[in-house]
Amino acid sequence: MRILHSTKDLAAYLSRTDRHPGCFADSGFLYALAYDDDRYFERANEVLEVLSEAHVSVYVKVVSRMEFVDLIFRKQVTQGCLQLFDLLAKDSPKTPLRRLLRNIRDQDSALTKQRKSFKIGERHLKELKIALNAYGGETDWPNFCSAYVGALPKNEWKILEEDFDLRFLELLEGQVTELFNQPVAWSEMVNVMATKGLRGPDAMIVNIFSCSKLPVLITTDSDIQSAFEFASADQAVFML
Amino acid sequence: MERENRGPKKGAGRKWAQRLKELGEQPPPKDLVERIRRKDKERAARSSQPVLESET
Repeated sequence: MRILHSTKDLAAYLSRTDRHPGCFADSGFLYALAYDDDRYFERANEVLEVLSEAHVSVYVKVVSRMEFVDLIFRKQVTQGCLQLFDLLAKDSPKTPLRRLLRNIRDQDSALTKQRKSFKIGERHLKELKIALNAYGGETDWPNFCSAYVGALPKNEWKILEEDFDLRFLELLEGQVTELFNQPVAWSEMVNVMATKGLRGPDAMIVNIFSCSKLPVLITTDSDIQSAFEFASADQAVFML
Repeated sequence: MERENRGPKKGAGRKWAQRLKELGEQPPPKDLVERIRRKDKERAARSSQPVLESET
């Protein structure tokens, strides 16, 4: 297993490998491509250009597809909260909605200073829905979300998947496809969790990548580094 | 059988990022903002009304 540090190394490695022309990626990489307030934005887009030049497709597990959609949803609603806060800030009565929006704005500002991309979590989403519903419009919450997520789930998502040449790996226990050298076993994923202390989604990435014919894993998660020993000697990991 | 690997389109990430940014910079739904302002004003007016002796 090799660790690649620069896009130059990645390009050279992809030109040499005789493995399948694809890379395995996590949702952190996909997110970094999409938001310029993410500290990996520039690097992730440089990597995408390397993949484009090398005609290398991007493979993600189905769980990462769901995680990515969820990250985009949370980020877009966060953007909506910041817009709403700006509009309501001048009025300034201390209502629960304004307190919540101010809290979101403050967290966003704090993380922006650290070059981190802030997204609201489940607790904020629930509180926001309750706070908006308190104004009596039953369609306020869905309308608010629609304004910021728009047509993404319908037409644009399809275009995104085509433009990124995204492909999804959905595997059943013991199943082997043309992209795999060996069957993917649930017990191996549990083994990675137990021996390396990784959470399920990360262990799943390590296990799927190790069993696959894909030459390189692109990730933002340094925890995965601890499990490199499970992969083949001619596979590589690119850390953003 | 998988379709042929062609790789991502050039500039696809930045194009997508720009689209998401534009979407996030839109103003919130106008009717929602107006209703919030109106109801907050009504609440503020109610809470600032003097309490009559007979009500205490």
